[in-house]
This record gives sequence, structure tokens and C-alpha cells, in this order.
Amino acid sequence: MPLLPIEAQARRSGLPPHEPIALVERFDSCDRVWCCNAAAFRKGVRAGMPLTEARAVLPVLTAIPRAPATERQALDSLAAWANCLSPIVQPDPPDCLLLDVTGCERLFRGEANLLRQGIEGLSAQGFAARGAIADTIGAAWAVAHGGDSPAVVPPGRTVAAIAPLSPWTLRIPHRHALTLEAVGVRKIEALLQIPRASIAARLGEEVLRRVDQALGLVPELLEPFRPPAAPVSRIRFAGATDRIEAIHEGLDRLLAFFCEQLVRRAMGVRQVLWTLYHDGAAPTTLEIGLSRATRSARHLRSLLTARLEVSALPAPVFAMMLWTRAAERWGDVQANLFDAAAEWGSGSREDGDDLASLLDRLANRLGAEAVVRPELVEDHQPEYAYRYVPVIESRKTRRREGERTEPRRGENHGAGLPSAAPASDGGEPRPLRLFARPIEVPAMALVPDGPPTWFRWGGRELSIVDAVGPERIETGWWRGSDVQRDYFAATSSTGRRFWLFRDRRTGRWFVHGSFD
Amino acid sequence: MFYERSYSIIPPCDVPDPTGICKNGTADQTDSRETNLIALKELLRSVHGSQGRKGREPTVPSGLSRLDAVLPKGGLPAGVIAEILHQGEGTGAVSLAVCFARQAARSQRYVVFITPPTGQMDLYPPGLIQAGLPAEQVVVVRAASPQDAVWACEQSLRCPDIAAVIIHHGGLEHTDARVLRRLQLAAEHGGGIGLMLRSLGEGDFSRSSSFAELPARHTRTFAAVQLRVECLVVNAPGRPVRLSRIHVLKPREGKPIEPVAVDLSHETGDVPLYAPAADRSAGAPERLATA
Repeated sequence: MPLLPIEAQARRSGLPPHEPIALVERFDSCDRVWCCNAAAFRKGVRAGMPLTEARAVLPVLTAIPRAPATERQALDSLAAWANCLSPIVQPDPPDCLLLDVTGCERLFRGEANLLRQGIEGLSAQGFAARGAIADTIGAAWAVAHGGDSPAVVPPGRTVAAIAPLSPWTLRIPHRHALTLEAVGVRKIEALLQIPRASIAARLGEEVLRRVDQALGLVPELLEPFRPPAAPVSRIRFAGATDRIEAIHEGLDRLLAFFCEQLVRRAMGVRQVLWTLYHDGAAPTTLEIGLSRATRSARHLRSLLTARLEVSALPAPVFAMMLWTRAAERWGDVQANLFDAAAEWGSGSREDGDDLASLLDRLANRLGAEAVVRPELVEDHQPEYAYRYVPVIESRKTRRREGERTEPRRGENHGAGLPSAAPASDGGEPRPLRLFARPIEVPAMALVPDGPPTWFRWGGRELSIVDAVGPERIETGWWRGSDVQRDYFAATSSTGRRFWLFRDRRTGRWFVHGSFD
Repeated sequence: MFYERSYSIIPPCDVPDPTGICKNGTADQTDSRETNLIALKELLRSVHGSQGRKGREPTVPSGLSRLDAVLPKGGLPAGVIAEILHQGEGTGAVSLAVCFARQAARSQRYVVFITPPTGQMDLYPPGLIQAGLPAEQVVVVRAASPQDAVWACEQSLRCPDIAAVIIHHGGLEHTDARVLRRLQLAAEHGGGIGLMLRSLGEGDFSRSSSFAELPARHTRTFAAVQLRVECLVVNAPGRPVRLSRIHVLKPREGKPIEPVAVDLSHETGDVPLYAPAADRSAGAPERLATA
């Protein structure tokens, strides 16, 4: 993936890929272009150019400092993805993936197909890729970098395939490639004609080794990439115990080890499971969820101990385990609703005192369903115009939020009906509280379609002195229950205000909410 | 019954005696009396909580110009629990709480609603937004038991990211002094305000429609500030207007406050012209109706 560094950076900083972008690195106290994308290349920007010169050629050039960590991260995530092609994948920084596809081609109906799928998969993720399949790693590397792409070199044709390529494609050090270029060795076939002893003497063993690797004369191994595993820690007591101090002590040790693993693997957790094994009883598993990824042992400890307090253990505990199903890379903690608060609270604030920890504590004691925040739904039927989402939720919700950042006024959403304006858009009054189900009340209106004049509520008759309305809502036929209502915000003679509607099909009256 | 038993917020008397009132009664009479008085006030303040310690604590206005005008320092002191008494559904007490909350939430902090588990009645987000409280800044906590509600309330009040906690939980309507004291301390720690809604029930209003006629046991409180909301209808030109008369009781300092009448459906709560004379005395409407 020749452009991986630039694509990874552009994606991270949200730049459109078709604009001229260059990655800049500092060489000898001078910012130089390290690599640039096609748009910049077309306008004359070249790798190695000083940035000032590149700016002179192309003033609109976007220059980003190179960040090897970002590249490595992108490469690792692509390596994890590439496991769908082969079980053995090795990331080869900065921009290459090496796959051992021996035997895998059968699953893809041929090597050419496998290669095509790989390249298409990468470009679908926004990374332009070149690829080759050959007998040896060296040959595949050479063809992928210097030859046509995609290329499948048939078995036994390695020499023929790499002969016309330039010697640098053999992964030899840059200065040796320059030397070869200077002495007129422009192709690998020319290099192969030079006596081995002479190569070793003039250029060093390294070049010779690379040549041999490409030709398959010396073996080269792939070191399979393993995505970092989720941390787990276990502890076993000398004997079964039911003493809370011992369990807490054990938990401290588990957490110390657990969080150390998290730090070492650059991860944070959104969920922790604490399994306690009993003598002669099924193990108990306590689960806590977090509104934001964490790796603070103190925060986890307070949540876990609170969780333990409210659960009964059936028998003494002889072993415990701490594990997780939701670990994520610490760097890419997802931006979410409460990050503003987190930033606001960072700094002098002591750990565990901010909103995220509060929500964690609340949700873990009262249940995830009990701590919610409101969300508007674009729907004309009042009882469907909102929903409550738990603050501790799977990423599903958060992704939905991400989609929502786009302006969507006036669009047809969800049910696919034209919406003149969202229900909450000012204008018509909305009550502060809504009955989950409209409550039918005896009521009377002077004229058939007019506002109500009295209704009965809580065993008392309320005479209405003012009714704002009607607000006619006709919707919901696609849900199967056609809704035709005339809403009134009705004020009684004692000043109480309710939200009433008349069902236009039956003429009956309902109280739907109160202006509390 | 319950209140008679435990109506006391005077803490135990083992506080130190910095004034020395008990010992030197014979010294310079007038001078010592004055210093004693100051010291006594100090002592009282330290006993009654830490509000006095910081001196100038910020206040949370309601945004209702008329109410803010009568509240000491133009609003509720931050870090205080206020009780809002109302007469049941549809009377505007939640609106009043939301007025304070939306002013408190201006600093990008959050508002927590403590409610019973969802069942018959639910907070209606479109209504909240119409009342000026952004939905992104609202967290609703559904507490099944009064114990959970108190716990959630205390936790939320302690958090500095929370601007206001609105407690609308039937189980907490008859909290005792101890619980309230705990919440008060939590609010002082976090610096937010707690607004505790308490329904007096409709039954008590079947005969009398005013708080003044209620038996004292219904309105007794341990909160630092008590606001009572009662609604009434006045005849404005064109159509009747529903107003809320707010009585401010137990303000921290100062004299008793005359009730004010505000229109809670209006942003600044200003009352249209031509309210009856009775209400004009209770905070005269000077402003011309605009709507």
C-alpha cells in the first residue's frame, strides 16, 4: 500500500483524499516531503523535496507531519482484517502486509481471485493497494513494488518474474541500491550475473541475503500477527473463604494485574466481568459496564465492590477471575456525548469525581436501564416523538449518534413520511410530562369539533376556561393503528393545565399529559 | 406524628464555644454584647452548614424576573436544597424547577432528574426542550425505592459536573431531617442545586385552595428554602391567563417575602396586563402584554 502513510493520516485528520496532501518529515534541519498523494504528485510535488519548494510548486498543498504511530496503528488494523484471507499475516512497516496464502487459494477459487479480493477489500477501506503472489516473500515483494499489479507468479517462474525489475525491489538497503544504480546495474538480471563473492565483497552480506531470499535459496519466516488479546487475570485462594476482607484483598491484586495488562496493551475496558468460583455451587459472575473506556484500578474497584455489596454469594469463594468482553484501544476512545464534560473536568479534578464515573456508579447500582438520557425521534405521534437511551450502551447507539450529526431537518426519516417540522419545534405547546398511555376521561365540548368545556379528572370535575388548540395530528397509519387526534392544551378554572385530545374517529376524550 | 417526632435540625450541642459568652459576662457591657452577637452569628452559620464559610457563593437565578427580584441575591444560593411544594399534576411545579435548572445548566453542566421507574407517567423530552432545557444535558435516573432515590440523589449532587438535581420521586416526599441534611452536605460539596418537588395532594385543596389555609404539618420542611407554587387563572384581555403564584418561605436571610405571580409559560415569567387587583398587590404586573 504505497500511500498508506498518507491515507492513514488523512483519514485520521478527516481530509478529503483527492486534495493534494504531503507528509513531511524533518531531515537535516529541513522539512522535506516524505511522501505525497497522487493529486500532489500530478502538480509536481516529489518525495524528498524541501517543503518550501513543494509549497512554491503547489501553494494549496496540505502538509501534515509524519506520524509513524498512526501508520503502525492503521497497518495493524489492516493486518487484523487480512486474517480473513489467511491465518498468517505479518505487518511489514511502514506500508506492507505479508500473507502466507499456502492452501488458502482453494477457499477463494484460485490465487488470482484471492489477490483480487484482497486488493478490493483494502481499497474499500480507503487504501490503494498493489499486490503479488509468488513462491517467496522476496519475489512477491519485488513484483508488488516494481512489477504489474495484481500479479500471480506461477510456481517455478520466480527468476523470470523478477529479472526485469530494479534491484531496490529486493529490499536491499537504500545506499546499496544507489551504488548499484551508479555502476549501471539497473535490473535484477544484471545483478544476478555478478559473481556472488563479488557482491558480498562490494556490497555486503545483506544484499546477498536478500537475493537468496527472493530466489528461495534461504528460508524466510513470517511472524504471524496476533491482535492484542483481551486481558484476563485469575487468582486462587489457599482455601475457600467467605471473608469479605480476603475477597477485597484478592480483588485488589486482580485489578493491579488486570490494569497493568491494559496499560501494556494500550487498551481500556468498557465492561468488566468478575467471576467468583465457589465450592459446590455454580460460579457467580458480576458484571459492570462503563460509560467510557477506563483503565483506572480505583474506579473499577469502587464499582466492583459496590456490585459485590448488593449480590449474595451462595458459598465460600476459592478462586476469582477478572475478564472483559469489551476492551478497546486506549487511543481511540470514542468521542461521545459526555466527552465535553470529561475535558471540562480534567485537570485538577480528582479521579472518580466526574460525570462519567457518576454515571457508571449510578448505572451499576440501579441497572443500566435506570440511568437514561432523552433523545428526540422525528415522529408526529407524541408518544413516539422521544425515546430514552441508557447511558451505558453498546456502540450501536453511539454510531447512531454519529449519523445524527448530519443536518436532517426536512428530510424524510424513519417511517418515510413527509415531516413538515419536527414535533418539538416550538410552536404548539408540549407538556412536561406524558402519560405512557392516554387516559380516557369523560369530557364535554359545546360544539362537536370545538374545545372541551369540562372534564372529569381524579374524581373531580374541572371546568375549562381556556383551551389552546386544536392541533390536529393525523399519523401512524403505517404502524397499523391510524391516529386522528385533536389536541388541546386546556386550563381549568383552578389553573391546572392538561393536554387533552379527542379521538376524531370515536369522538372520545383522553388526557395525554400535564403541564406540570 | 412523624414530624412531631423528629422536627429538629439543631445539631448536638457539643460545638466549641468560641464566643466565650458563658464566661465573661462582666466585661465591657455594650462592646462585648456586640462582639458576642457577631460571634454568635458566626457560630450559627458554621453550625447551619458551610454556606457562610465561603462568603459569596454564586446564586442560581430562575430567569423569572419577578421571582428573582424578590429572592435574596437574585436567586437560589448554589449548593442548596430547595423544596417546591405543589398541588399535584398540571400545576406548574416542574416548570418552575426547570426554570432554575436551565439557568444552572448554562455552564454546560448537566441536569439530573430523579424519577420513579417508568410506568404511568414519564418526563416528556419535547416539553423539556420547549421549556429551554437542552436534551443533551439531561440525565434521567429511575430509582425504584426511596433508598435508591436518596442514594442516586446524593451521588449526583456530589458531582461537580451536575448543575441541578430535580427530585420528582413520590418516595422522597416525606424525607426526614437526617436525609435532607445528607443531601444538603452533598449539594455543598458539588456546588449544584437540588430541587425537591413535593406534592401536597389534591385532597387538601378540596376545601381550601390556598396554602395559607393548610394545616402547618403539611408545609413544614427541613429544606433551606421552600417555594410553594399555586396556580390561578386571571382574566387578561382576550383570554384567561394561567398564572403561578410563588410563595418564598425560609429564605436564608432577610424578611418574609411577598408572594409573586409569574407566567411560567413565558420565558421571563412576566405577567400580562389587567390582572385582578388582588394579584397586583402580590407583585404588580407593570408590563404590557405582548402576546
